[in-house]
Amino acid sequence: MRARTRSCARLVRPVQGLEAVNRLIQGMVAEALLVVGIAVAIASATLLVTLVTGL
Amino acid sequence: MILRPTWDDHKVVGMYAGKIIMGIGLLMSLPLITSLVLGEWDTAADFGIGLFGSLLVGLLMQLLFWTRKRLARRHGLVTVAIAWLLGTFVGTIPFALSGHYGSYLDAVFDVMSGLTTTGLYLIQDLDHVSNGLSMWRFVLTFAGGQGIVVIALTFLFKGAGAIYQLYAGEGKEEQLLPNVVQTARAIWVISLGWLVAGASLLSITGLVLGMRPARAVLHGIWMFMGAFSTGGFAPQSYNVIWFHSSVYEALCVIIFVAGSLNFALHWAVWHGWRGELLRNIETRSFAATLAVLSVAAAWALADTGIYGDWVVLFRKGFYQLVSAHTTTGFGTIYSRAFVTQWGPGAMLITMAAMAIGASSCSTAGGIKGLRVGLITKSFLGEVRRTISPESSRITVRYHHIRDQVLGEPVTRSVLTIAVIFLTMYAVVAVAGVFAGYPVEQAAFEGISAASNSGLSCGLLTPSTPDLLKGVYVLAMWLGRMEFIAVLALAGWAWAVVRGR
Repeated sequence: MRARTRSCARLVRPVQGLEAVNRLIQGMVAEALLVVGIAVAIASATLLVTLVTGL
Repeated sequence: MILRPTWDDHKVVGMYAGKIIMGIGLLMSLPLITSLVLGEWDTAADFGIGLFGSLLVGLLMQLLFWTRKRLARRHGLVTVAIAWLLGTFVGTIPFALSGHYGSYLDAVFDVMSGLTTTGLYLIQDLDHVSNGLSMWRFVLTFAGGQGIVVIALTFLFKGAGAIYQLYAGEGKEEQLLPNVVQTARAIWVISLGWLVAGASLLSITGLVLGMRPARAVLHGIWMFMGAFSTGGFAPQSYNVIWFHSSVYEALCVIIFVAGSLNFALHWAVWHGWRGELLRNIETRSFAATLAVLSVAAAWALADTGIYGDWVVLFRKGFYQLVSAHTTTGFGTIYSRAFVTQWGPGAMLITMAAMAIGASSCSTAGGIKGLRVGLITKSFLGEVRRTISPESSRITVRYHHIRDQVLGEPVTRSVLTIAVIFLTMYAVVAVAGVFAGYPVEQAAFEGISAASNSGLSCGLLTPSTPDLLKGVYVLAMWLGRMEFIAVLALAGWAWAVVRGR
């Protein structure tokens, strides 16, 4: 329980108003970029598979 | 010795469950308003009855079971299990009155599927349901994704203490903030932030595609709710194929992958720790298993030769795989295409993706990436121990929000849950075989239900045997609760019968 509380305390950094909105948007963009990155990597792997299998 | 719960214990459970039922009832005001605004009077009447009925049940439970006794640890999980069951039955009222279901069981099935964010459905003539009814389908799945207890905690509860047990009962263990009510509100802030951004982008895309403004906005909101909750419900029977748009597909992928991420991860990223996205064991586990399974599926599909070039192969293969892995259930192929075009190999890979699932403390189902990551780490640790000198001390570490040491109790716990999940997958698959379906189809549909995924190979229809539908309802409930709350309810019942 102590560990959980410490973890939460570390997470709490009060952000309010426009700064909170700005950070939320930045976070969403970062998460979207992660998805795009994974998709690009898998697309490249798919291309490789089709080259190997001769599709 | 098993202690029999006292009448006061029952009263605590009943009172808090009543509060949660009221929360579900209040949600019906959203489809009710939609129906009234759009002049769908019959649907509005259905929701008026549903809203009145659920508020009445919730209120009566609170009056009947009113007590000053505080919620304790032993009450929390039982309360959640009962609230989900009763919530399903009161949530069914508008569905049952709509005339779109062959039986009451079918309506119960769809509510459980919505609340557990599964996405399998038995509604008939889906393409012609009223907007109010559609709204209820998506409100159910969106609310179920965040957790109906989270909703109740957000709007109806004060304080904290043992209320954490209610929150944890829905398979969410992470506390974003020290106070569990604040944590529930933080989850809603994250979800509503995504709702505004995601629904806006989908609505704009709908407008560009030529949809009428009202339709584009409604579809934007609904598709967002279906995607972010990893629910898989879509307003049309053709699911995402209906939109015929790669942009719409891509937006949906981003939204449902975001929905499948741990809320603690969202919270950390929101607070500026974007590096957590790359360091977290869950995102690494998800990326690794998705990559391996996608390549395996590409290989299997390339062998079948059903897709003419690599772009189509990637677009179809990746979409179904990522939808399965996040337990969303959106599809860009027809259900029967899994059987008639993909074949057993690619189906097996899709089943593996559904079985693993996505992040813990998210809207997703399945065994969960965190558990798969920890099991892998534990296994590798054992290998290192085996090849190291006897005097060496091997410590296995992992990063999830903070650096942590993987200890014996955690390993035992994740292994136990994983084994229970695998057992349930097997049992549900066998139930499908006993109902007379081919083994690969029974396994596919069973794993889809038990992992709350919602991809279908076409096995489930209104004419499916009622017993199998019942098994799927139970599996969806067990999977969403991650067994603990349901087992606690069973233990409670046992204590009532055999306790002293």
